[in-house]
Amino acid sequence: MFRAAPVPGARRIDEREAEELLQGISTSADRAQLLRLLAHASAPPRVDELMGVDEVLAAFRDAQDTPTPVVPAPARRRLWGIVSRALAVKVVAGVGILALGGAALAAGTGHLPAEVQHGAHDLLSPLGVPVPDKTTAGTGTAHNPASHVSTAPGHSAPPIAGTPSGPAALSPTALCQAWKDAKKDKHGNGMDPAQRQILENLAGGPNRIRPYCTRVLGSDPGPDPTPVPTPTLTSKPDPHPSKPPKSKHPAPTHSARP
Amino acid sequence: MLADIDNAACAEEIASVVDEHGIRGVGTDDGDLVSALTAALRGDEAGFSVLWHALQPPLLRYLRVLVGDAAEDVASETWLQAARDLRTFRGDVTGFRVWLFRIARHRGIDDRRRVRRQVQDPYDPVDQESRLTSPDAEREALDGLGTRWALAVISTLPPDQAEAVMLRVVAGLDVAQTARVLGKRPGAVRIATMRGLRRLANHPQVLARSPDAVPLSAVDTVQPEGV
Repeated sequence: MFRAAPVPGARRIDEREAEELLQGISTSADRAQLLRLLAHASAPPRVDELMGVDEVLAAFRDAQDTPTPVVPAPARRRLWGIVSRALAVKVVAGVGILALGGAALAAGTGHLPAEVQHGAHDLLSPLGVPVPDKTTAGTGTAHNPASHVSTAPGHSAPPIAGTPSGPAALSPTALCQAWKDAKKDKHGNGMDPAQRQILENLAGGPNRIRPYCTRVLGSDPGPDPTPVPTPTLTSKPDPHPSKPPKSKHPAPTHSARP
Repeated sequence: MLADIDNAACAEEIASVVDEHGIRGVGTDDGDLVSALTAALRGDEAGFSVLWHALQPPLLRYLRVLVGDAAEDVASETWLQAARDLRTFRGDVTGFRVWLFRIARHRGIDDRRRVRRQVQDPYDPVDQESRLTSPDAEREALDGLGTRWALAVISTLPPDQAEAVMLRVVAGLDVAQTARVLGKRPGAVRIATMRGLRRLANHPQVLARSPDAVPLSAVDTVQPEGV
């Protein structure tokens, strides 16, 4: 039986090479086509992939307004059992949690001041009470499947998978800065369309970008306390009322210091 | 050498694909997605919005391979469920990614059962094939044709290989995280990924796009009207 001469690189991909290819690395020219395909699959996001945020945020708002905690009945019974046992100890220790039902409800939705939330978190942590300040662990893997053949110049665009540096470009500050830079660019390089779409979503419309970015970037200190769709994650004061920067411990305890 | 030309042209194309937006990663702050998640868990809508902007595109692409045209609908259902169930979520950003893609996968499987699709390959690339032969890679990337082409090719893989490749490449999950989404052992994920990449490497569409294949005239892929 006639056998064609082996195609260069017809050797099969093994697990080790598979991992390298997923990182966008290859030392052989005959994987270039495959790398190209993977690069296209993980290319940066497009505008048409960023439509429809309003409906999702509306659903998020609705979910926040749900008055009752989303705790299924068996867990609720467990909740009472655990809390009452733990309380017997904690009350004696003087933590002074508020009225049982209200605290459990408030703790479950994260609407307690930070210090009390911590206490409640300790009590109720098996049941999913959020930690007030920190998230656990870090940013996950530093996985960066941006594809590049070793001869390619270094790139700066975040691929679709969203490495730690990728989503940074989505922060209001970064977007507004990019918008400002694009306006100044003498070469007429406009802003990236996908980024612009995100900025429009944040600002509430294309005509609102200028005032929005003035607030984000400028020295304008005063945010609207109204829940307009322009909240940011920068150092602006948070209009959301659930977490005052300092909280007084509501329960009277012995004085802390002599 | 032909191989060198191929390599260099590919390298350029790859660079143009990943560079096209010129995103400079302004203020590369690793904390942005972490703080977004923290904020979202506290009920801050802005945090949830950042998460959505970061994860919706990869989610859509994964679902495109899973359920084809229903990707947008299933993605919406996924986010709705995520918004509702967020208060039950605990974990870091990676955990959230796994959690979100698990929801998406379950919704996608439900959708497939509901529709009782007969077609093995839900994303039919047939009417895309004739259009996706332009060598103008940069414009393709801008139009999304390159991505659509890539997803179409991946969709021709057996489902477990297609899913493994998409979760590793597009969703940015590692082996263990992919295994959690798929409900498989890590070893099985490695094998499925490897087999998927092997198939892709030998796929006619991938091989055909080398410069020494059938010459592709620099014609618009978009047919003028009336032709």
